[in-house]
Amino acid sequence: MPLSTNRQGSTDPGRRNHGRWPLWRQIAVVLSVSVFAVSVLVGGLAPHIEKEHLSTTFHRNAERATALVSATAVDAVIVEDLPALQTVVEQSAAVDDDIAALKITNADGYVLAAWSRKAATERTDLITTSHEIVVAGQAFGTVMIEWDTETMFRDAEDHVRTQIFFVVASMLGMTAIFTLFGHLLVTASIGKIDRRLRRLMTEKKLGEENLPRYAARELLDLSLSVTKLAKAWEALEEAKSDLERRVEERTAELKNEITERKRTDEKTLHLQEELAHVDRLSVMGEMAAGLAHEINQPLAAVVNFAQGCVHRLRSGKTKPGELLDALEQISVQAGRAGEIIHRIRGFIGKEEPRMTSVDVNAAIREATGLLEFEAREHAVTLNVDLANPLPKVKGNTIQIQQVVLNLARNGMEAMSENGSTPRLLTIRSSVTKSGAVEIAVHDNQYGASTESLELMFESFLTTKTGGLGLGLSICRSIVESHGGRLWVTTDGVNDTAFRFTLPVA
Amino acid sequence: MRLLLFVTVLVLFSSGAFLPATADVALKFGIYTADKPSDVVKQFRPILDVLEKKASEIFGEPVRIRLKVTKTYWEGVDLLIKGKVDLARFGPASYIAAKEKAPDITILALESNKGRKSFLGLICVHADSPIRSVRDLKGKTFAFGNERSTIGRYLSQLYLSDHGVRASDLAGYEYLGRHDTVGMAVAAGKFAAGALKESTFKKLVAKGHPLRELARFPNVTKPWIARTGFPEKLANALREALLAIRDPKALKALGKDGFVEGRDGDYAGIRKAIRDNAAFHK
Repeated sequence: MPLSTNRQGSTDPGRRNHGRWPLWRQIAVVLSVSVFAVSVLVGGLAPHIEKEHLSTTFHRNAERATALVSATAVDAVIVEDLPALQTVVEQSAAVDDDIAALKITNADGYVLAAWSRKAATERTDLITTSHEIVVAGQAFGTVMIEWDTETMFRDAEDHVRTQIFFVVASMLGMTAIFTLFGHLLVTASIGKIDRRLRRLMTEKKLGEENLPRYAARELLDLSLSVTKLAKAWEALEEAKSDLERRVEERTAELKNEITERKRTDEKTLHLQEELAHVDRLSVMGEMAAGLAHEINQPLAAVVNFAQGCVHRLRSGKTKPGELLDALEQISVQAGRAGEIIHRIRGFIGKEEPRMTSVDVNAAIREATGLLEFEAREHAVTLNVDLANPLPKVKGNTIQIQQVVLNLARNGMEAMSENGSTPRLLTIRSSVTKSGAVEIAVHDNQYGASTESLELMFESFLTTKTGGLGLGLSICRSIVESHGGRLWVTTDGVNDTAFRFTLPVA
Repeated sequence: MRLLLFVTVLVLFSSGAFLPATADVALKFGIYTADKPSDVVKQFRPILDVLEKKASEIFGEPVRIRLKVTKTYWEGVDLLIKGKVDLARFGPASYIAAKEKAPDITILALESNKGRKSFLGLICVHADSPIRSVRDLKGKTFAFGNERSTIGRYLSQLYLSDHGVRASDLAGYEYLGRHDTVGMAVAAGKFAAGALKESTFKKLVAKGHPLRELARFPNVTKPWIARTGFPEKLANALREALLAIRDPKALKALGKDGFVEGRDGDYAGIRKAIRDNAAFHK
């Protein structure tokens, strides 16, 4: 049971508040109870206090009056002028209704004059004041007055009660007025503001309930602030939906752009591929004579071996077993020629650029096979220095070989042109600090500057007599399409290296 | 029975002998006045306080003196004669009257006037009055003081009769009671002349009352008297105390400069004036 009560209490604060009274009613109750309590307290104490106060005041006045009588009587007392004293006593008593009895005695206590209003037994509430008549230090007598205070105190109590009644009534009246105004000025307005805020939270809209014109200034300010808040909220909501719309639009635009870009990229790639192919054809064209010679050698050997076999068969002296070696040689040489042709066909073939896991060392070795004739032509010593093991890279084998071939041929041609000796071309593979695979093609041409070397990357710029001048720029675009980088370094004397990196697969 | 009596006597005696005398010697001092009684109290209380102190020292027991004021000569005299007051201070005429009725009253001392026991009485006229001598008073009105006053009646009337002016020679006369009343009446022109003591005359002149002295005659200062049967030892102590009073404050309040010794014989002249007063009225 306690659990459910707890849950109910904690999950529904609005409902919990239902049990509470509105502020104005709380204030009214507190004020009423306070007023009642104060009234009871004051009503109980006031007559007593008033009586005490009156008594003190009365005593003071009574003593003053007694002293006055003494002053009037002093000379008559000194000479004990009884008729004069009797006159004093009667005249004094006549002045004040509260005097019940008045008596003057001489220093020996004998009564010189006396006056009394009622019989002593009838007196109920008497205050006695006395004043000794002293002249130059000698006492001559005493004036004693008995005061009847009954009527006076009764009147005072009635007076106080009436006052308390009016005070309490006016306080209760003020409480009522305060509560009413408090309700009108404060709690009613707060309620309206509260309803507006609730509506703002649930419906995201501000109610049109206006505060009473006489609401407290602070509350009017608060209401204004709430309105401003609501407007700000609405503006915010609007801005939010606008932003969402714009994001959607932009997303659609971007999608289109991306599709377009993809298409362009594909086209670029295709063009690049086409260009690379053209380059390969161009390279092969340039290498055609050398390659023809390369093919020609095994073919010549095949022809020789074949003619020899024909001779032997025509003489009829030979045995089939004797021809076996020659035929095997024919097969080997023909295979060799076929191999070269296969390589060329592979190199110039227009295949789709496939990105696969490539063994860079194997690719280099294969490319080197196509360079051997040209190396001999240019009297270049071809040196291959491959790191082992070397991680595989992600790329296209033919394109990587195309880059190596281009760079190697450039190097050989450069050494040949500026007459460097000895001519050494080194193709080196290694792993960089960042883990990528680096391929470097070193030559030892003289005096190449970094600026002139960099210029070689520009399209259609070539120092060679043949060729399109596209080689290095194609190489760079190939490398970059593989996610790598191609650059050139030189020591300014006799070591120039074209290097490129390829990311590991 | 004898033993019981002896014991009783012994107890009474020892109680009286060994217990300190706590009860004061309570005396009453009578005085009459035509002035404001409370002023008279203020005049005499300081000197009585001093007297109490000195007398107590001399007598060896605490002496207390209460002042009893009466409004009239005869009341005051009556109290002394009947022994209702122990001490009194009278004017000479009252003393002589009292002495006649109670011969055993005794003088303790006389008030001093600059060391003497006499002072002056005056007959005064208006400052602008044509009267130049006592004889000129014939056919004029005259203001006397109290009927029992020495200056106010007896000495002035004696002086007038000695200078040939008798009551029948006057156009009229009245007893006005007080010395200052006499002076003011003359100054106001109500009477052609009047008798009053010198000190009052001087005070009135100083206040601007138009008065002129016509004649002067000596008077004896006032006696301080003890009643009949007053204990002699106490009377001596009081006399000694009075003569020794030098307290300036108390004397100033009293209006005198001290006390001097006095006898009944000092008033012989006045007594004669009283006895011969009838001659003025013939």
